[in-house]
Amino acid sequence: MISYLILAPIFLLSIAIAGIVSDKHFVVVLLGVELVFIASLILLGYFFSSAAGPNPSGVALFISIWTVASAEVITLIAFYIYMKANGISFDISKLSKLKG
Amino acid sequence: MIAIELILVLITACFGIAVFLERKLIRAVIYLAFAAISSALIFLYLGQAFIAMLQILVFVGGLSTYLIVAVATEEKSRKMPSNLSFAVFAVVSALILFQLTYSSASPSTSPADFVSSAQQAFSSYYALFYICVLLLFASALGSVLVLKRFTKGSRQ
Repeated sequence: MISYLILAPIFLLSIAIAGIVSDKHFVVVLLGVELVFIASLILLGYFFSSAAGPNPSGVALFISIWTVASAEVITLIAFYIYMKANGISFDISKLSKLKG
Repeated sequence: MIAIELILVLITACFGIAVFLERKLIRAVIYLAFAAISSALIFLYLGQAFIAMLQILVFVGGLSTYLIVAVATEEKSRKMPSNLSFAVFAVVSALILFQLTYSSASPSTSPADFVSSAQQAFSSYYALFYICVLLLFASALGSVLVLKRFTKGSRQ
């Protein structure tokens, strides 16, 4: 029997997808990606808390997701500081002006 | 017990929605931090106190703090997208995900069965997971160095 907690990652993922698709601000889109990571962590925690004992595959996946989320935030901050310093718009439909 | 689960689900979903409905970037980042805290509460409810502590340490203490420092200087309110498009996408994707989740889970499948089959599938690939993760982290650091070079070039 799956508990109601599985609704949390479903709702969070759907909200994040909706935000990523509908919003045009660069930072907010990447905050949506962070929400996707949080949703995947909740789902992972739910399934691996059902395991009989300590689980190395669960630990590996947790560390993977945390590291990827950290890498994404580092990239976000680097691009944010660069774009702010150069007066580049945060509208993702205008990001093609970055090239050249 | 069901009430606690539903309250946790509601809190997490509300903070998730607030990230996208907020005009100011710094408040959106704070709502993201609260969403991470509510996910840590879910881990606590599942009996995983160590994972909850690491979640707060990484997401709230690390990532959200850096984001708040970075966007703190942003004073302008951002241009908001249409709430109707956000609501439509949210409902459609929730329905699709709900259908996918509950159609693939048969009454006889327990979470423990899923975990054991996942373990068998992934047990040979732990090293690859760690390598991929380190590569992604290295690429993030590399992007910082490349942007630093662009910034130096544009100043000259």
